[in-house]
Amino acid sequence: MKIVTSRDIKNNPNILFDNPSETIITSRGRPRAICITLDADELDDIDDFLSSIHQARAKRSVEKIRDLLLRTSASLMLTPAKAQEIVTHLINNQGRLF
Amino acid sequence: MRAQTIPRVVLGADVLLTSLLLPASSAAQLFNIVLDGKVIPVIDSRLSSIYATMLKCDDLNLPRNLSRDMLFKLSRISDIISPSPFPYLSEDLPPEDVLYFQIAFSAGTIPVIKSTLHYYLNSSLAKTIPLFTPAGFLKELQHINEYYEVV
Repeated sequence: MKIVTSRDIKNNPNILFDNPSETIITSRGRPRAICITLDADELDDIDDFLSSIHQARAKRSVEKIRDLLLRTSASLMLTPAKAQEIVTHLINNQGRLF
Repeated sequence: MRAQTIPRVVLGADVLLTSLLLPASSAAQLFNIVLDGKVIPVIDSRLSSIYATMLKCDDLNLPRNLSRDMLFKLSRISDIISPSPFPYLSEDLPPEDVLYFQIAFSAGTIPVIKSTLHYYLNSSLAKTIPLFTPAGFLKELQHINEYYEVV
């Protein structure tokens, strides 16, 4: 995977299309976007394609939270029953809002 | 085979919470189906705030950036609506509960998923808007899928 800066793109926009794979675009030393080359016929499925990316990102984000909660709960010896207790406790504490 | 439309639901914050804490629960199973894009959650700005408040609670001890990131990404796979005025008056439920039903009504009378249904059993709103537990909705999904396989 190629990494280019926003300045590189300003100087030579074609730099994004030189590499047939993905390019990470950085700005001020931080990754800000990813550029993926497309074939013309892939444009027909662009909504599905973008949905898949959004789903994958959401999934990854949920996995991170689940992993973290699992690690926390492991250190607290949290069993499913205890986790259910926490859910109930939170629901009761916050009222029926949840 | 007839094309199947993707079901849309309003997820209770309790369902979201259970799905994160208990990965083997029906709530988690349903949430995984949502993440696969086979069910679309419907939210509005107020429900989004309720989710955010819940994830901020001290018992969970979640880093704020993680929960914010997850909610942002969840919103990208959700249908975000501006609820229309709600024609039903419900004196038997507090306003925060009515929110779920209002969103469900505005989205075209779609199901509301809550962990427990006993609060709502006598509510007139629950007779107007379909209400399921995660396990109940998973069964419903199975029926829907079987129907579309036959048709």
